Amino acid sequence: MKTISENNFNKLTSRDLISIGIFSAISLVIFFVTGGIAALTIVGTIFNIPITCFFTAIAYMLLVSKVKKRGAFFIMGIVSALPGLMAANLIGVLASIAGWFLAEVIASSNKYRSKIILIFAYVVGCTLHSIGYALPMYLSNAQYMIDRQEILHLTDAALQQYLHFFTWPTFFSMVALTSFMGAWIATKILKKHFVKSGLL
Amino acid sequence: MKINRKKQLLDTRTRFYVVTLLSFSSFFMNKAITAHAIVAIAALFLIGAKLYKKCFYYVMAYTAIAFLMFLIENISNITLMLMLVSLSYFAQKFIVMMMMGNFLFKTTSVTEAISAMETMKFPKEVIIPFAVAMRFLPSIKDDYHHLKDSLKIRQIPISAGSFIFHPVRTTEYLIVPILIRSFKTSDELSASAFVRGIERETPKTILYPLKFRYIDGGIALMSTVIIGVLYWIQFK
Repeated sequence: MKTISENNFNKLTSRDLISIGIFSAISLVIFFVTGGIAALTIVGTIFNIPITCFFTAIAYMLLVSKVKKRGAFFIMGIVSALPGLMAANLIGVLASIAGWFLAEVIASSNKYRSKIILIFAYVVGCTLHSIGYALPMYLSNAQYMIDRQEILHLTDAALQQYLHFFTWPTFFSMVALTSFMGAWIATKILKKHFVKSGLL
Repeated sequence: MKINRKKQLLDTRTRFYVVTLLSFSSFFMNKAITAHAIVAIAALFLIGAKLYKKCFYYVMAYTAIAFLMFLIENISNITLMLMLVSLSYFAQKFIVMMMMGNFLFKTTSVTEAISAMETMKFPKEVIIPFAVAMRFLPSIKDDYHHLKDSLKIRQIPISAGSFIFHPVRTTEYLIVPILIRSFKTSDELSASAFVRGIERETPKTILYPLKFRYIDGGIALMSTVIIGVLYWIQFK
């Protein structure tokens, strides 16, 4: 027989879904604002997604601190990924759903109790989400260079240099690092502003 | 009850399909002719949505980037040249996505999008957060303006640069107050939704019934054929 706390953990109420919606909206705004600002710089254009992962962490960490129920990470991830459909990034949306599902499994394994596991779940979800979103861009980017090598008068050496620069390990490690830093700092900020004031 | 609403030329699902098709295909259109063609098609959709000014700006931006690419060979530094080519690539792809995104936002209201999701049998666990998120976005904008005024009174400057140079401090000044306010808003919204019967399992009234017409089939088919031809040119 299931206990009351187990039932509470399994069932998301409408109130929880509304909270997920609100924090998803905040996460989307943070994503677009910080992404837009980062795009003003050359480094920020290339590493746009890792930078946004740093700032969106606080919305995710606050949600999972408030709604400690199965599905919180997964549904917020889906809602955050859905606007990607407007940009028709189908691969990105599917990869991010897979990523947040994995994050959900990790967080649920400990019933959303341990901060370290929640940080790890965010890093996994965010990294797969970002990689999926960037995949068509990266794959197509190399093809773009090859297709236009002649028009742009690129030498073979220049093309090789470019293809060497855009590697997956660089992108992957950047996203994992910034999302970890973002989630870790977010837990500190939440402790300072939300736990101490009694909101959480 | 009769509801007064603007009649849309295309069904919401057709708009979703066309936007998805064009934006997704833009990733693969790397030859100059196919890339230009897909921007031209996106521009036609913007004109159809009467977004003339935005269409002009996007087409001008695209043209400027394409023109700059012709001059790129004059740059002797290879690293700089590659960086600029890469930036132009990202900019060109984003322009198509932005154009189609604008078309979708202009022609589809949040209510229509939710109706479409309900008709397509999306689960309530996705529809409710999505609907709340879309409706809550303007509220965040208002909160931000109030917060900005408050920070100005306290002589705390917030700019684009502060995100780059002081990311943690900016998060505390800008994002934390909005998050604290959202705590209260979520409770208020929950209470409001509860008294409106959000918990009831009975079927909800659909204010925007979807109807697939001949014009939808025609536009969808025409877009598919044109994009198919572009794929053929790209990969032949």
